Amino acid sequence: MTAVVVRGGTRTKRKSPIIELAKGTRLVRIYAQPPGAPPRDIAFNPASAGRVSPVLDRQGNPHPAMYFAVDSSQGAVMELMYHTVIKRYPAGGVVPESIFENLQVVELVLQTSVKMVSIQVLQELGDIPEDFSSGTADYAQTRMIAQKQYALRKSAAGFTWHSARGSSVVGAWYETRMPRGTFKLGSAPALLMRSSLSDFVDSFLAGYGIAVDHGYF
Amino acid sequence: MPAAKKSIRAVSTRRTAFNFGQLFPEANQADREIAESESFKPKLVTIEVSSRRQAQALDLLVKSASTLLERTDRERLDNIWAANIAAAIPLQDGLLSQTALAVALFRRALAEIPMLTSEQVGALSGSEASNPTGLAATWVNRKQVFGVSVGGLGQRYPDFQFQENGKPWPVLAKTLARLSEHFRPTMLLLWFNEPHPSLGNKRPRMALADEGPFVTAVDATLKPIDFF
Repeated sequence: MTAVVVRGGTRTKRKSPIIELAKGTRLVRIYAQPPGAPPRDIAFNPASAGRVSPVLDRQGNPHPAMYFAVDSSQGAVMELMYHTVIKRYPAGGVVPESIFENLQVVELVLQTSVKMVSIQVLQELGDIPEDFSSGTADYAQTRMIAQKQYALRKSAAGFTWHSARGSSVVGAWYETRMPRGTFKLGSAPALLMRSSLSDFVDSFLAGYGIAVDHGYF
Repeated sequence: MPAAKKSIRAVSTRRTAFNFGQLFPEANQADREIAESESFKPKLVTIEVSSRRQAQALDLLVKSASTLLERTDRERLDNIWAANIAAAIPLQDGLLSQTALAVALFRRALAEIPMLTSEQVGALSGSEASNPTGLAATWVNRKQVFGVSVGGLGQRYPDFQFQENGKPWPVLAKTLARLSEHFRPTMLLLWFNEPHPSLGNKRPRMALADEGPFVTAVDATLKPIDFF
């Protein structure tokens, strides 16, 4: 930490929650709809008011958010599952493979550096609770905190945090804060369940006691 | 493209994790640096995991193991399952764990749900038809009930599908066709037997009298994931 001399004594400079994703960073994104898609209801969101985004725009609509993983394609899968199937189904849940059929996975490469708000740093600073957005957190509380941070950090394009098992850094961008040309495709979109990640989907869900019907039995 | 990149892409079609050191312990430092560089990972590989051969192997496995259900003790059956599953799908961890999970849920369902023969279905309904055993097949064809093949026992009909008067619950005629498009019979049995969040974690088989909530649960189950 840096000691800063101020009138009448010293104080410790607060650590900034703003981090930067460098130009050239590769990201993995799994999505059902491309950027700019019209808002619509989704059943899996516990808030039930709309899309998988805790932040609302000025009209009160969920602000379009783009989820991605910074350093691991498996992290992208975990975050997707955490926000959808895991949040919804108890152990013993049985889901058809068809619910994954519209999901695509793509690699993106940042063409410029991007500032993000680090949830982890905010937690270290005590600005947000430790259980922020965890499975046990109250969603209304999560939304209120995210909304406040979003309004406070206007230079940031979104949030980053550690994924469900803490093994990967993931994040969400807000479309209106992403300058045009921020990223380019690093790979062509591929269907998730026809990609090398499909077995990880099976493995991850089985770990939570959730069975996937692939039509084998 | 450097040789190391080509090699790891080929091997990764059989593995989900890219651990270059484990895959190529003999690789030199230059290859390792390429494989572990930021510009290389994470590369995505498109493969066809649901191969026909694998499906056939699993199908055969389930049929043969189900045949043993009535003939072997529990411990021995566990060993048979484990050995056969491991032999059938040695490379894919996810499929292996999904199969083990499905088997556990299937056994629980068979232990909890009476499974009727076609004769019992006919008798339960009080049918006076000349061929009461054909009633179950007729209802299956009309998507009013479903049957599950239980190995050496043949086709069985889960009893929760029938009301006290022996007739199928009306809501099944409205929903089974859709469910059957997405679930094979065995997995459909599991879906009916496990708690569902749309029903307050009640099991769907216990909610057939509540038509509205049941249809809502079916809709929620089949709705594609929406994620941005």
